[in-house]
Amino acid sequence: MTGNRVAIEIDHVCKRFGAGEQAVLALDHIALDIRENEFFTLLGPSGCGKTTLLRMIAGFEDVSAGDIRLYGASLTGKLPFQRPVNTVFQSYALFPHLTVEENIAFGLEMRGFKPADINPIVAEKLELVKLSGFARRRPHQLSGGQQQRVALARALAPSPRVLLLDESLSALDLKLRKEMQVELKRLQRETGITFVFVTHDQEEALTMSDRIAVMSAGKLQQVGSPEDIYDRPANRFVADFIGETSFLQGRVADGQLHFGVAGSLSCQVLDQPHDGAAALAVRPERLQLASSGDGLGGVVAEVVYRGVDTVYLVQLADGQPCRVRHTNDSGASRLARVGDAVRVAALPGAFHRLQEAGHDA
Amino acid sequence: MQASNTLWRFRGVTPTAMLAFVYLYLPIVVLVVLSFNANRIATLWTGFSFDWYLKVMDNDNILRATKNSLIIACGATVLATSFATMAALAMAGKRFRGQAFINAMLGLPLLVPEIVTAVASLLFFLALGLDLGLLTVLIAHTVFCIPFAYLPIRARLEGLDPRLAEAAADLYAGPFATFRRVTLPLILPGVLSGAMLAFIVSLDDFVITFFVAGAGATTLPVYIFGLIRMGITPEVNAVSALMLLVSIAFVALSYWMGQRKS
Repeated sequence: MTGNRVAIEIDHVCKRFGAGEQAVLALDHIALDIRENEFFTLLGPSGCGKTTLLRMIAGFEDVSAGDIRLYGASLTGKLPFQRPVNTVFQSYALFPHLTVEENIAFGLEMRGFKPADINPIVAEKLELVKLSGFARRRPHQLSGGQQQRVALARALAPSPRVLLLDESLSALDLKLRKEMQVELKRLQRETGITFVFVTHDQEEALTMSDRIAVMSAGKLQQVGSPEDIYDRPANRFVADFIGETSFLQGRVADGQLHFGVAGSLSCQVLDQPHDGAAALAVRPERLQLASSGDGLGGVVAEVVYRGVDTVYLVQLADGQPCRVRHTNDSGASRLARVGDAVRVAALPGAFHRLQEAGHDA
Repeated sequence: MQASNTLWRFRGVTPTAMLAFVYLYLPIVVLVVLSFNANRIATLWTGFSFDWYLKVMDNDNILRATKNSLIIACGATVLATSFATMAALAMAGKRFRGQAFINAMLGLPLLVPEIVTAVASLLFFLALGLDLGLLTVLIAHTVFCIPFAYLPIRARLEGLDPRLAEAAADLYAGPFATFRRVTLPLILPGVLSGAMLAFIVSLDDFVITFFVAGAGATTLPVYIFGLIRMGITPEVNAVSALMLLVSIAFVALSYWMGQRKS
């Protein structure tokens, strides 16, 4: 599925806005490789620089330092219309005075294709995004989801080496967004084009991506597969930004995790078993509530029923809060009530030791 | 409207508004009515007649002045609209130093008293050694038409999503192709609206033209002024009514263009 060739090489790219003392470093030495045919996602909160990076690949922003290479060739100095990449804009940016088919044909015309060659490609792309009956419509006669698909077809029509998608699903409502996530993944598989997708929605990133780059405040935090990012977050930011996480402070000794008066767990910290203070991250679904037996002592502070699951906020005996998630698969939804004394047990490998242990505990 | 605007609840607002409209338009209505007057004495109604319009069509001087007016208005419109479009495009691009100042300078001619521009233009042409004639009128008209053409084009560009030009560039369109295929079609209503305003303003102008027109370059307003000095004749009324017709047609067209697709 994922080739090994590097499609885009982001080589220590910086972006400075403004000059002199007021200059802001929007991107701080970003270095990463995007491989051929992969669905690569730039993920981060708004203002983290992910869109700026995407716009730099497209050519809409200058690179302040560093270089971006497409299949080994530097893109520096190349204007947007000279780059074999196409963009799906957040606002779609469909040409309002052109019909759907004219929009899709635009890039092909500009590349000098003959009308006879353009028509079958346009028809094929319309088919691909399931809009065959809409060729003669104008953008304003389409729904948001349909406009989105026209934007996709238009960007795919000239067969770009890389497709850039800028927060392309964020304008859609939840249900449509879920549909389009599957649709995008299908398109990527069918076309075999490298997708670079920008989003602030971690769930969307996990659902669609082959690999994800997590960014924050202009810095790259972690690059890896969705499993890497979710199971082995590189730092506190990533652990916090992706999914739900409880952060706990403990001690590792004799292969055991100790939490002061709350007790200890035999569950090992897989990646870093050495002794000492440990900043730990744990996902709520890997903790379990037990009324007695092994586990950390605590009191239920809050119960949040969410339909598919219930989340218990437990105040451990040593004062640290943690979240425990139970799937409501057996119907017996409430395991405990607020104020109940409970024990919190962990699945093997539940705890992940964060690298900055001791620095910001 | 009456439900949302409380102003209308006050007594006397409606009659006042009507009075204002009468004040604005009654003289024009009188002029148009009198242009159909059969009597030689313009202000004395004796019967309906098309005579004065026929007389206008027969008058070589009027026809020549009309021809001059149309040549100058068309030329000034094309030139001023082209310059205004280029200026608007430059102003809509990336921000640059002194942009606000230049924007103000582009609109300033609207505020300068026309007589000042007229005298300045005359002195300028004389200093350059240009013979006063159609060319000098054309140059002067182009200059004062630019801000009129500029404003609607600029407004239209302001409302244009900058992502559209980016999308065109992203789809391999160079700067010129982007302008021709995307930007121009989308600002065209503004450009046409600006062009029509420029045309009307040029067709209408008296003061500047009066100063910079040489002997052979008399335009219609200047000619009408000459006629008036010998007394108001129904012929003047007829010419004025015709000009009014043209103006209304163009302003309406310009308004309609501005409204379309915006």
